[in-house]
Amino acid sequence: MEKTLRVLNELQETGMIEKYAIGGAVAASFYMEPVATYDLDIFVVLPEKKTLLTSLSPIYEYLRGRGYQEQEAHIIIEGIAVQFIPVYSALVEEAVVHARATDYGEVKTQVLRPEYLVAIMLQTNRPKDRSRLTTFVEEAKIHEEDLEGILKHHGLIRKWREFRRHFRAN
Amino acid sequence: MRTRLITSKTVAPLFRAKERRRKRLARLPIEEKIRIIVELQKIENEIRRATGRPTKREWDLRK
Repeated sequence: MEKTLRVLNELQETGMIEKYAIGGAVAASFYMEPVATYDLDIFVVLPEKKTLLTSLSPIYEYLRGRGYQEQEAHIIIEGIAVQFIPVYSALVEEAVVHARATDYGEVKTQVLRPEYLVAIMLQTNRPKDRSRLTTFVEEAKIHEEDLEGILKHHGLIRKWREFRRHFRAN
Repeated sequence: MRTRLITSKTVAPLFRAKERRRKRLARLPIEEKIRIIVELQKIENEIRRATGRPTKREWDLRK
């Protein structure tokens, strides 16, 4: 894992990625009990290009050149299946920009903050997001004011209230 | 009604123990949590093999 994160840091240092942050189940695991997953989801802000098309091709080409192999939607970096996800909404972009710097062993990395993870789970709203969110809000330390600001800014307050109502009822 | 009483008496301590375990796991360092995730991958793949479903690639933390 440390070697995987070192490679991600290299991508950021060389400018192939403007900024990255760990998301998904691994990010959630920073704040709650470990969540079963086979993917290391990496949200990426890509450097601004003159084209409107966002492409991960340069990253994949670089990594292939380093000997890492693709497998379906993933690329295996130092034994870990990594999935790069370009920021796809204003919320996710903001989440990456405000990601928390942390250490994994001796390596520096960035992980989405818990308040943004809540907002992204609400926005994505797949059955697994709703299920994970239920446990997440019980276990993670969430800054209520920060969360409310994020939810208001991204129009998710109503969804949050619905979730809380359902959560309390069950 | 009788069943409900027995159930709540029997299961409540189990649920409390589960909750304590979850909170204990949540406090572990991330490096330890990642090792647990890999163990979960191995367990899930065992079940997949036993039920004839394709396995998924487990992480190799030795690299």
